[in-house]
Amino acid sequence: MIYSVYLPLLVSVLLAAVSPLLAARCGPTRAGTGLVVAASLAAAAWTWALLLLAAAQLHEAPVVTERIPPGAAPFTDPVAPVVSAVALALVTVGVYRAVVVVRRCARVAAQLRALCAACRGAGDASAGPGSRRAERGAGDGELLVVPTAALHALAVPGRRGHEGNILVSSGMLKVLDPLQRRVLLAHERAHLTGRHHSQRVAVEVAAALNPLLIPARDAVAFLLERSADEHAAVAVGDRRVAAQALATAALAGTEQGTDGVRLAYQRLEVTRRVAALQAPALPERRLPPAGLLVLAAIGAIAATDATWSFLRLAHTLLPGM
Amino acid sequence: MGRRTDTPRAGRRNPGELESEVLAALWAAEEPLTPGQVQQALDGGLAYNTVHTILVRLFEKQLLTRTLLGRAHAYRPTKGAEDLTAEQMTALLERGPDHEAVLQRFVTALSSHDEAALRRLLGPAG
Repeated sequence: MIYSVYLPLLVSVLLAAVSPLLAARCGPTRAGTGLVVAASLAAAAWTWALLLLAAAQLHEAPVVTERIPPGAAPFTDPVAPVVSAVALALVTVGVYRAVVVVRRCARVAAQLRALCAACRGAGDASAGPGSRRAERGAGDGELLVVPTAALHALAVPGRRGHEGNILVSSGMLKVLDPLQRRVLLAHERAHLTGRHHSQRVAVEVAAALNPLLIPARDAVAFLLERSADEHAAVAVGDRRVAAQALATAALAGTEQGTDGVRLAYQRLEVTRRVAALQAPALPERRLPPAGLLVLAAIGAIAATDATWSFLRLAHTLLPGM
Repeated sequence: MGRRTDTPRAGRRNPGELESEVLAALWAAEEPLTPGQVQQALDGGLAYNTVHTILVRLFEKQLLTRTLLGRAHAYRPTKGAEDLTAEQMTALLERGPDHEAVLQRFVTALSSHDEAALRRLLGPAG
């Protein structure tokens, strides 16, 4: 029980240690997906292990000790009450943080869709009545442009069954040349077709449940951008053009100086992405993500094993089960 | 995630992608463009007829308006309540790092140190 419960902790620490290496050395698409799945599994195993640690106190309850036949082997190794209390506190805070993250993501996504609807509505209003489109359908355009000099470009995921939109400011389109605009569009399109937003939300939730996974979350954020960059480089057929598009947009934004505070890893990100595009492409290997999954699976299996002891305990408590 | 996104895809652009590209070129231009001018602004080796077809399709979707300029139509993007969407976008996007998780941007701002590093990376040709 003890090992089974603490293994998910170890797995999270290992994931945190290998994430930056993976971000720097591997082809981004597979590494990103592997890390998302591994981090999600690790977060689930961690949460479950904490719950089991908290529940281990049940074993000490008189209602259980009365029913254990004398001389029978204990169901679980003893867990100190303070450990159970800490586990309960950690899991409570983690779940609370995860709920906050999910609600915030949902709120921002709804606001983005409202903004997209406003862009469509703006076009329709001046074009004539009776043509308002609710959400992007098959015949509708993917590109929505906001007429402002500010430099913005982002992918807005559609709801189920909808493809989503590329939302760009006209200022951003003006600072790029034709090939660079193709890079921009292909980059955002890769986010949409790869469903990167779901992967981002998944690792945000994992990091909220288990703060040890924060390096994994940051690595995924970077790898998804890198993946979109590589897709864009292939779409225009030239990695240097892709690097120049990124650099042009980033430098223009700095000259304009409109952007607010960013996290450290996000500021560094553009420079590292440009450098990666200027270096030879990293191969999309299968082995590193497969290794990650094995690692995460060990954690998950360990947690399942602990569940087994817990079920025996529960069976004693509730003989009818 | 599907296999199709594992390896980046090159080659032909589908009609939706071409429409986005033409629309982007028109938004980037300061004034209405004729099909010939759009073709030049695309730099992508598209045939005149292809460009013309895309323009007509975008016009039919009411994403473009056009005026007759000599013998050809000149197209410009349909603009609506500009201030409203621009304000909404700024309010949404410049709210700090808490919201970055769901905002997949093309690039984020640079610090002066990063800016210097980026200019070094680009070299004299950049």
